[in-house]
Amino acid sequence: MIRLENVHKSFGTIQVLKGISLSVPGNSIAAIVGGPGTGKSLLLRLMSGLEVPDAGSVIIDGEDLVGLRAAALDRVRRRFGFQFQDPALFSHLTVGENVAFALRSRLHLPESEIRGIVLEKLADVGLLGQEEKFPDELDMGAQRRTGLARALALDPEIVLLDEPTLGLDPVTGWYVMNLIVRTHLERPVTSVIVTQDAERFIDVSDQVLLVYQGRIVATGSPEEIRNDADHLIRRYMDRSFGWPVPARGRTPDESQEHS
Amino acid sequence: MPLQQPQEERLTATSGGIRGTIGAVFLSFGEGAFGVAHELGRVLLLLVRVIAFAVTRPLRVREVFRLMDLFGVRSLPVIVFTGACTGLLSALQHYHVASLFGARSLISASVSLGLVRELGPLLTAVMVIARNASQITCDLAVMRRSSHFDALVMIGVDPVDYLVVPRVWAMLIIMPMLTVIFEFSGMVGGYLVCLNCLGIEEFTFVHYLRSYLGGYDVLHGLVKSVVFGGLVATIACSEGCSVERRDLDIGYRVSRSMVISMIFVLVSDMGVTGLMFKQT
Repeated sequence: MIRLENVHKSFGTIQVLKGISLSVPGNSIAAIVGGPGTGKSLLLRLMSGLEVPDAGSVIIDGEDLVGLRAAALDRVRRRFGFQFQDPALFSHLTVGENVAFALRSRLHLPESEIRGIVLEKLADVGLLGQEEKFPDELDMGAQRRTGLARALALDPEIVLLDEPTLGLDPVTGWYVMNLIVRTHLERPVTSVIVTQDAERFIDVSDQVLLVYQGRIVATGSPEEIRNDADHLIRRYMDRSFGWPVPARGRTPDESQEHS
Repeated sequence: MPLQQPQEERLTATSGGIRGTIGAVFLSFGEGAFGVAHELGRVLLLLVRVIAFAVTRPLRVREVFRLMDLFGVRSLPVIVFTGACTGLLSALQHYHVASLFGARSLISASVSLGLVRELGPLLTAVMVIARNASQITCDLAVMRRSSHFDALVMIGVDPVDYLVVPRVWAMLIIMPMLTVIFEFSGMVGGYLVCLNCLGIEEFTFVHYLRSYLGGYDVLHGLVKSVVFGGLVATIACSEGCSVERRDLDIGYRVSRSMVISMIFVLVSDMGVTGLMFKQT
């Protein structure tokens, strides 16, 4: 279980998180949704111990990450797989080597076994046959999927996904979502997905959290969020901002005449 | 980071008459001293970590060779060109001075000693700073900004071990090599000018060069080049790793990396020259 208790975080004079508390049960999918710059990605960084909160606790299965020494923190991180918003692939390594990197660093397996796992993970993200290419030779969507394969290479217990479908076409986005759900069906894993693409992930999540201006303003099951009448939630879920889209050149009457 | 004081507070400090002016002068000295101490401390801390990793972890030979190719082999044209021009110009300038004292035959000795003991290591370092230090800082800064460092941390790899140590090793190995190539190019440049423009015979050039240029002079230059290589790589990496999440910070860090590297190279040059000068 992942638990954040009254977490505050500021950068300089900018207070990004203002007392966030949340709980993600084990073996579940949680979607953290919200607009850009609301502190969603920072939540993932706090969960993985990459950032330390100014106040509050970050608890992973009963262990508070705040104040842990580097070695203890690394032991906790072994359980995580993190797909960053930026693919963060090493340009001098091939796609296969990028995925194998985590395996070589964490596990001391024979090369043949590492190659087998790499091919399996690349097949999972639809990149089989691309393992000898360098990241620069792939489009952004394929780079992001390589990042996802790397995050899943070690079969982590907790998967943190930062905008996994950002910049992907609808078909590839669906493919990635499918992979995340399939991973849950195959083995016990806790996933936290940060996304602005609420529509795509809301139905596959067990819990949805809406972040607005550094606070969690709504939390609940997808059904509860869909039916919540709160104006902030409605504004985000319905993509309605209270004003009409201005007409471009033609009045509604003219448009009807043309059609 | 040097102390950042809001503009309004600075104005207040300087707007209080003579006392305010003196205060402002002390304040800016304090800021400067703090900035230098901070920079020194950061570079030293990184250097300690680099040495610790270099001693305790196996060397990533493949990565070091890749970086040696990037920093060394691809710098060859500019190093050869700069070296040849320096030797050529040195010969012309030394010829003028040597003529005043009737010692034109010693021109090869003075050009080669100047190149090997001082100009070679120093100008190679300048070219390396311009070409490689800026690249190292920029590469690391971009990697830091784009989650590469975080990705490494998440898979249990220390970014200093993976990204900084190979760069420092590559620079330590490649700097003496580039320096020797620079010096050789310089001597060839000087030789061509002496023979073709200044009327000095080949035998005279080679004879005095072999008579006056000793092994200790070469060692003098090589020690400097190793010191410069280590310093430049560590400073460039330190600046690259310190980039913050502001859009303009990468350019700022690259500029700082080059300026600080140049200052450290000059200061260490004086130090090494002072130490080795006593033994000649």
